[in-house]
Amino acid sequence: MNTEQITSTEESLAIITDMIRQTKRNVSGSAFHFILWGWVSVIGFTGHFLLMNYTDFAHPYAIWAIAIPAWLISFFYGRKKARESRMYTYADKLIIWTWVAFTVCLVILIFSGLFFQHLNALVLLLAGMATFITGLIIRYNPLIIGGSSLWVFAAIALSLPYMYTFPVAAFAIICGYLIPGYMIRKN
Amino acid sequence: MDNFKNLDPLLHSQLRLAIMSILMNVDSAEFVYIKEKTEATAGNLSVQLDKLSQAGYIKITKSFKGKKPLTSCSITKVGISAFEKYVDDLKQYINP
Repeated sequence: MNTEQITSTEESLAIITDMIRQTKRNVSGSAFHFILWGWVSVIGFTGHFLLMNYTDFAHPYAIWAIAIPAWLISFFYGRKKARESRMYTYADKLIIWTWVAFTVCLVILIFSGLFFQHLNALVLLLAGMATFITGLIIRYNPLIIGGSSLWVFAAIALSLPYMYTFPVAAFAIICGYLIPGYMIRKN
Repeated sequence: MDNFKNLDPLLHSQLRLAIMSILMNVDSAEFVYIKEKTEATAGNLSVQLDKLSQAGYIKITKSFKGKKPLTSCSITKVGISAFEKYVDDLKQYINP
């Protein structure tokens, strides 16, 4: 492309549409985060359930320590991808801040210690909202449906005794994170 | 060319319009990214970016990525208005 003047309106429109098409975001990077956090959550909920019900271990919640290396991996992977892409879109910004907001809400809920009985359902509600919004931003229906399914599972979890919310949450994450995550990767 | 006298002459050039179209669609883009998408030479791109920057249409930020110098560009509010006006003016020619 050079600095020559444009000779027709068609040429102007062709340049504009071509550049818009070229700057379309590749969303495959988000699959990594959904798959990573999907497995971390499934292992966390299942492990917590098994340790709580089938062992004498006094601190079954300790299984969630796996979230610490996962968070570091997620952070460094995201930073590496951002550096490689050499451009930054409004969609990237919205998605990042949606998940930062999710994390802030999650930390407040967990460390308040006030929502012990309904914590898993509340986590699913927040995860559903963040996943739903991410699906809307990247215009990917499986993620929108996955996020909505997390709300349904949250409602189910709210109606169950605390102990049974763990397997429900693990299954919800398979539907809400893992299936859409692998679908994004495949596409 | 008289037919296009109402169109912003700064935007009515292949490379500058391409640069503005890219920057309308992203929050910020690195020099190398714009060069790759527009297939322009580094020298020519640099000159055109300076022209757009001097007109207040884009903002050029120079920093470092590790030890390498990094030039990033983003569109300004003035640039967004100019681009929107250019597209509106273009519509007048298409649908007079």
